[in-house]
Amino acid sequence: MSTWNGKDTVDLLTDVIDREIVGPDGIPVGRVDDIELRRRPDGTWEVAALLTGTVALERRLPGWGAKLISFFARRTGGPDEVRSIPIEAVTKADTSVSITREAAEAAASPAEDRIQRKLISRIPGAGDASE
Amino acid sequence: MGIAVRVKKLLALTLGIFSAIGGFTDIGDIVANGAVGARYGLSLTWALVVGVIGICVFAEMSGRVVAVSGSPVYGLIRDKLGPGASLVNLVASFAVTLLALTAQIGGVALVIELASTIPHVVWVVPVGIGLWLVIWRVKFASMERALGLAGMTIAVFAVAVWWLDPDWGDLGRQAMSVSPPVGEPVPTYLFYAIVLFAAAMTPYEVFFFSSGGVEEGWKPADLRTQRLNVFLGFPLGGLLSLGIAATAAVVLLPKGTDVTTLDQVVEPAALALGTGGLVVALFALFVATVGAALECGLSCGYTLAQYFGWPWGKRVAPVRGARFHLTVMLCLLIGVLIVQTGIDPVQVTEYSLVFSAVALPLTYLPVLIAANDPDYVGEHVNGRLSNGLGIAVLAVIFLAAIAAIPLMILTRMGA
Repeated sequence: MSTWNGKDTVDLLTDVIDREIVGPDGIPVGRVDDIELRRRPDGTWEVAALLTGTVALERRLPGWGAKLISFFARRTGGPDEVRSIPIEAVTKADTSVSITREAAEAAASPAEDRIQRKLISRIPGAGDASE
Repeated sequence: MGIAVRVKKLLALTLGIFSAIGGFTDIGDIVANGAVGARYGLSLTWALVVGVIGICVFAEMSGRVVAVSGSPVYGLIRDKLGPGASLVNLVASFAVTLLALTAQIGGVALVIELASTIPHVVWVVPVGIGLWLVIWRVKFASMERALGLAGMTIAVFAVAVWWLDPDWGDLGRQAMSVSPPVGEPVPTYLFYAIVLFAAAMTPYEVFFFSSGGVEEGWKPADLRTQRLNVFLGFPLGGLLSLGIAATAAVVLLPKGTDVTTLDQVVEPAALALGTGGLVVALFALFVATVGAALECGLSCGYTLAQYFGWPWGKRVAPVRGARFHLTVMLCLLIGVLIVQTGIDPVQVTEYSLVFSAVALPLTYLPVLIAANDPDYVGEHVNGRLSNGLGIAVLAVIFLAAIAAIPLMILTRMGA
């Protein structure tokens, strides 16, 4: 990918971090809670992966915010490991970051899965989209 | 364009406008307009007018942001403010929306009490379950349309005013005035101005409106329709809820009644139009509170899901939006439990309006920023008119937010 949303230079803080990550069907996968950098042989840094998950987010929050979020993460069977989305899996970037189907499946939230299995899917009608 | 297509388009347009009219009123508007009308007549109409202008300007902006970027309001609040500041925003907005949800649930139960004479606490749990079933099963568009159309019955109050045939010149003079009636203290008058303004501009309306835009898949081509809905629907909705204030001004003000219960709000409609009027008024209040309760419940889920990037909304099956649906369920449960304590829902409503006044800048400032950001709206950035009005309304919003709590304490909740 040569450009990011048509821009030659990208401000990671305003154009990448905190943006929504969506799968090919447009359904949200998470948010860019943090990024992983790696050093190139020439010494410059490049973005290796987008990170998503409450643990990655907590590192960027004030203490009370991190405590609040980790409290709810524990109540729902977490906290879960941070999911890493390789930068190569990004297919499009505008106000949200689109990623490939495989990457979206790999980055799916374990908390979503737990709540779905243990509670939501047991209620009749859970599989019907209401549109 | 074929005739069939045109008719279909016209129908969709009319439905949209009706939905905006019928969806405008909630328990906050009902209580605020009833209380204000009985105490000040129509002399706070200006506050409602400013509120309606405000909600129009900002709903249009957030609709534009959604149509162009596909991103709802809460989606961009985190983009714009970063995780820490937007978490403060989230906690505050979520709390006022949850409080508003509680007020609406209480409102629904109170309306059923008025219709059945059985105390409202009996109805709280069935109401909660019913609301949840609608969110779980009913299509978004059908829910919006049905409640919006049924909500038009709130016009019964305007009809009642006309039927009572009051001194129109006097009502007109009241509506034009910008100062309290003789003998009424200014702080209390201003407190009610803020309550009325906050009722028109409640934050959940923007969360719901913009998320609804995503659910209905708005595109830039829909901008004209969307604008018509907002600029016709909301003012007409505001006018109809002013009908509640007007009936109270005509019937309750001369008697010196202080509105503290919902039956006082419907009394003028019954007086003017008899049992039929009472039935329609109760139905209208029921629809308004049910609709708003659904909007508040969904908005609790929308704000949280959009901050964290969860799948959300009614376009995905509940199994795919498990955290979203769990949030909505828990919020309904909390609302039900609070009302079940027997607390007076009218008081909950008043508190919810004061606190939402305090939280208003948190919602509206990011909308104004995003509507000026080409990343979000491309060529559709705010023009001078939108920015002029937006900044003017935002100034009022900040004043209201700063003054709300001091005035609440100073006037002892407008006593």
